[in-house]
Amino acid sequence: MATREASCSCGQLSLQAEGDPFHVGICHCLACQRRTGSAFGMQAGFDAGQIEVTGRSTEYARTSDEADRKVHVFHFCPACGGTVFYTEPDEPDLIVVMVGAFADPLFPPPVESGYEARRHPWVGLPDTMERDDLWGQVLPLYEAGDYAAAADRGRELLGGQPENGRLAYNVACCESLAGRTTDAVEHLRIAVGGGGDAVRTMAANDQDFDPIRDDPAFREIVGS
Amino acid sequence: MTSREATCSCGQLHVRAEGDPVRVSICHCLACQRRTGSSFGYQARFPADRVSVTGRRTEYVRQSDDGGEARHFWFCPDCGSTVFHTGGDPGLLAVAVG
Repeated sequence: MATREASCSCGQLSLQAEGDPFHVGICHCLACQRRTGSAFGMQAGFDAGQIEVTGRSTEYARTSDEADRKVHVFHFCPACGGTVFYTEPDEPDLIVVMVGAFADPLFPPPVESGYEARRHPWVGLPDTMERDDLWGQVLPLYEAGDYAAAADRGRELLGGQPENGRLAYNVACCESLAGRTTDAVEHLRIAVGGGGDAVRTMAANDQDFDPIRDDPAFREIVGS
Repeated sequence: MTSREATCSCGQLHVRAEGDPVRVSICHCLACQRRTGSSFGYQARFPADRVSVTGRRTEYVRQSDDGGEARHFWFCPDCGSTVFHTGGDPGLLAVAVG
């Protein structure tokens, strides 16, 4: 299994990552632009068990502007300022590493591009990348508690991108909440197929799946 | 004259640049990758006398790999964002575009 090392500019703060990330994405949001000083952020998601951190870090906690108000805690080196990874207090099994910290041009490429609305217009991206956040089209329905409509819209969008694991996961959440157990299981299976153990763990701890938690097919997928 | 403001993530450290940059460039070197955490660095160079800096900052000095002058990077001690750097180009100050 591949072991990779990421570090800040001066090398004081570093981490070792065992195995591949379950997701690699770039993000054009203004917060990523400010943090990096570059045109976009580029992050790789790992299960916390894959990562071992060495060195001192200073934490900077930022609450997302998004409706979920999710808190991201960025860990940077107090000596050189390099942010090496971030964590989410709500997702203790997740560690997201800044791809640049690996200083490896052959690192697995990003598969998704988020916040396209904020993309610097000169930045061109390959057609193979999932563009924009389709989930953004479903989110308002999900937040309004209209899970059946959210599931319908999500399913429609998934028709165009059947392999989009992240969208499949979120659609499965809507279907679970809408009482559509069979559909939820089917889409969660797609998400786990692309994302592996980290997605299993996420699903096992996600309250959106409470309505189907006792379903045998769900238990089989998350391995509980 | 155009005036632009750049800040770190938390807003504590900011710079105001008067007029347009003399050069805007991206750099794919490994040092830029590590500093930004992204795939390239992206900076706009201004005459140093057109830039005013406000806020607390920590300096990180990096010797150039190519035998050139040392670069001085300035970042916010609260959030870690590197907002500008100097060195290499006399009289110029490079602001991180992001």
